[in-house]
Amino acid sequence: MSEPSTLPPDTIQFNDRIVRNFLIMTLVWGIVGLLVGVILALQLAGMGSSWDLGLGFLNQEWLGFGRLRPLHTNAVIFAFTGNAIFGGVYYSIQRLLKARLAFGKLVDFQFWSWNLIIVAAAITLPLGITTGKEYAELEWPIDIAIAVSWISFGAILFGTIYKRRERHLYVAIWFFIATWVGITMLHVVNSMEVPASMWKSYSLYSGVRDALVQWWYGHNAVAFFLTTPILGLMYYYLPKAAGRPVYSYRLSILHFWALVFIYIWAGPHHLLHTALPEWAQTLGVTFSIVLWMPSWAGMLNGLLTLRGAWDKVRSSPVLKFLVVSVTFYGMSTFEGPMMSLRNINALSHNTDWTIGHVHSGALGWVGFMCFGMTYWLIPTMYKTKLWSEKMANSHFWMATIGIVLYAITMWITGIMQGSMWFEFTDEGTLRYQDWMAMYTEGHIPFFYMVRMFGGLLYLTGAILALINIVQTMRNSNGLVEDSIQATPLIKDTCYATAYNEEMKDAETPREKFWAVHALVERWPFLLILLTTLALLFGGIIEIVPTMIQSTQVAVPNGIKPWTPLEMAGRDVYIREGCVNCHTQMVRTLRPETERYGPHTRPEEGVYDHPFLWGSKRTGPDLAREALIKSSTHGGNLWHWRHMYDPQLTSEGSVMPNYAHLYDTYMDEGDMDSLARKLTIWRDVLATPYDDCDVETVTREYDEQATLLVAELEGAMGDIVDVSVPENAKRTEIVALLAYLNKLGSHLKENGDTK
Amino acid sequence: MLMYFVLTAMGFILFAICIVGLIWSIRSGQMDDLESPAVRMLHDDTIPPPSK
Repeated sequence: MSEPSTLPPDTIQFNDRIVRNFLIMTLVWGIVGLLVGVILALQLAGMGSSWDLGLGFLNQEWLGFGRLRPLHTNAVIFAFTGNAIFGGVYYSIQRLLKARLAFGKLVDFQFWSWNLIIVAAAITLPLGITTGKEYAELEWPIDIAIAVSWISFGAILFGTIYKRRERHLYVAIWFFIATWVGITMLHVVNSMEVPASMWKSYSLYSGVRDALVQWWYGHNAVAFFLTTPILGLMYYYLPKAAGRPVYSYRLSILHFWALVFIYIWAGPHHLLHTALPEWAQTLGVTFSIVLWMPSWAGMLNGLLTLRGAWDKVRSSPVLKFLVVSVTFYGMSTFEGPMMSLRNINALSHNTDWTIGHVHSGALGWVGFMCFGMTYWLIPTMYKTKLWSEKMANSHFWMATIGIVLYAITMWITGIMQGSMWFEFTDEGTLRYQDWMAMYTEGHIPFFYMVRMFGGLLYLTGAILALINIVQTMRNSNGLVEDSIQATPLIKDTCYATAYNEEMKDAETPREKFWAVHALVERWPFLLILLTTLALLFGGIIEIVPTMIQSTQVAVPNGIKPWTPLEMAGRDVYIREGCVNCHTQMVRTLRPETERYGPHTRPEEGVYDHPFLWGSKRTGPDLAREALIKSSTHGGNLWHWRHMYDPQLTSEGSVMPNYAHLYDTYMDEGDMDSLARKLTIWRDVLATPYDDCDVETVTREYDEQATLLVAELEGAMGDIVDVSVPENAKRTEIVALLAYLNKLGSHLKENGDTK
Repeated sequence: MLMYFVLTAMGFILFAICIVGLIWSIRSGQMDDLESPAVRMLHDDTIPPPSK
């Protein structure tokens, strides 16, 4: 295998244009994603709702926080980071493997498909087209497009590895391979959804099962999209920019294998103190702590690469970005395991602390790496100097101050929220019964303004980066694609030669078997690829029928399927992205059961496709809303006024108003599609519905809605600030109210409210 | 319960892929030299563009 090739060297020209294209899109989408983030921060600080400082335009229905938040996360993760990964991978693997990117046309297709997917996301998410699953909000047609684009990426990666002229695979490539394998598996498993129409689907899984799959995905998407590829980039661009080898190549190999073996098991730490069984929670925590070691090994390996070269960091903006990036990697990979400890998680979960943590990772670690890499790549590829080092240094300081402001304010508000939720008086009652009191007493809007300012600094820096990069390109002699000379490896000779080589001495069937075996071993990545696809395919075929079957088994006491009206309301809840600010998961902790009622049990979610537990409490938990609002607030009337204008019931609330639900009516077409949805729930998701024809559905819908409206009008009395319109029973708000009335109502019927 | 088995199975599949990759990398000599790759990646051996 290792004898030198006797073939003459030939010239290989690299495909650098595609790298440039990906890098430009990185900056463009970065600015878009960050801008949306700043808008969201303004909304949370109360702009556009309570203290309308001329920012009323932020109150559009398609600009509501719940709809924009997924756009922000998708833009930063899949658009900004995604484009940076592809650009960074495509530049480095060509040099490391001494080969031009495989499948030239496919490379262009991959670029366009990925970026069109993002355009589709930017259109569908504000329209309220969402699956409701965090970081996997895009609807099923886009999910399929993602799979196609991602498989193209795999073909290009493995194709280039296959035709390489360098036998050794540098450690960065191992990280890229893990990225592809991991994300393929995660995307397929988590995106199992049942289409109900072109732009609406329901998760195949429900309740606790869906939660488990979702956070297995969510955690590992962080692992395989925001960690392994970025580490691969670190192991390439940090030594390149510093002009010296990585501190320990041995350690980098250890780092890699330790990470890929451990990461996949840590997912359940997102579901501590929930309806997930305790053994699964403990498993997740244990592996999270174990993960800390390889992560810090990687951080130290990165930082020690600069030993004796710290003077270069002072003068090079590129190295400044890379060093801060690696430092944030260390910070976040310490903070993460710490937050997964059960007692710390009890305080930090659902608060701003988590938000701060992900921003340390996404803006600090990932963002700084992407910017540093771009500042190094563009001048290198254009054979010129960066247009303005001064500007890059300003970007560096703005971004650093921005992220530090962000992280610190989120620590303050996060810990404050957690403590206030948990605080008891000496008499043993909750000190903060009133949700809004925590906002005002904690001065939370002030800290949110500071956070917004931090984000604004980071965004301004990104705009400077785009200007700087465009100017660098304009002031150069244009992109010159590099060429190298390299001799083909012996394995580059065609399959037939290899086949003849292996088979020439094989005579008995036994010998022939081992000869074929040896042949497959010569193309190990083909082997890995085929194994993955085979296992995934087999897995899916096996899982799908059993999943559907097993949902038929458990029909817990008192829990009924959604009525047509509730189903319509639930779809509104998903569309408006309520799940982004309200949880539906009372944890097994005393302050929570005190505040909301009995903790959530696993069987409750049997009809929850998808689960709507949420992960952030900007507003209170809603899992027991039927119990809470009926007893203390006059039920539907409170919701009716609150949703029209949250200030009427909760002064100072940062919740957007949902006035548009009051004049949007369910027409016959909507009834038609509602009946179709129920049919699909019955036939595919095994929900026990009897009649799902349009007449029955419409009749049941109108009956329940009429009752609700009558109850509402009766409760109204003298309060006339939000009147009930004509034909109110068909408004979307009434459907939403019916859905909220359902949450926790089975406990009322069981008499099990404490 | 089924979902735990499914996800555990997925974990093991990934585990198996990693094992295959690890064994292959050791047997094919990827780990034989853990010093020089770090230095070699620094040199691109690019052909200098023809001077005008």
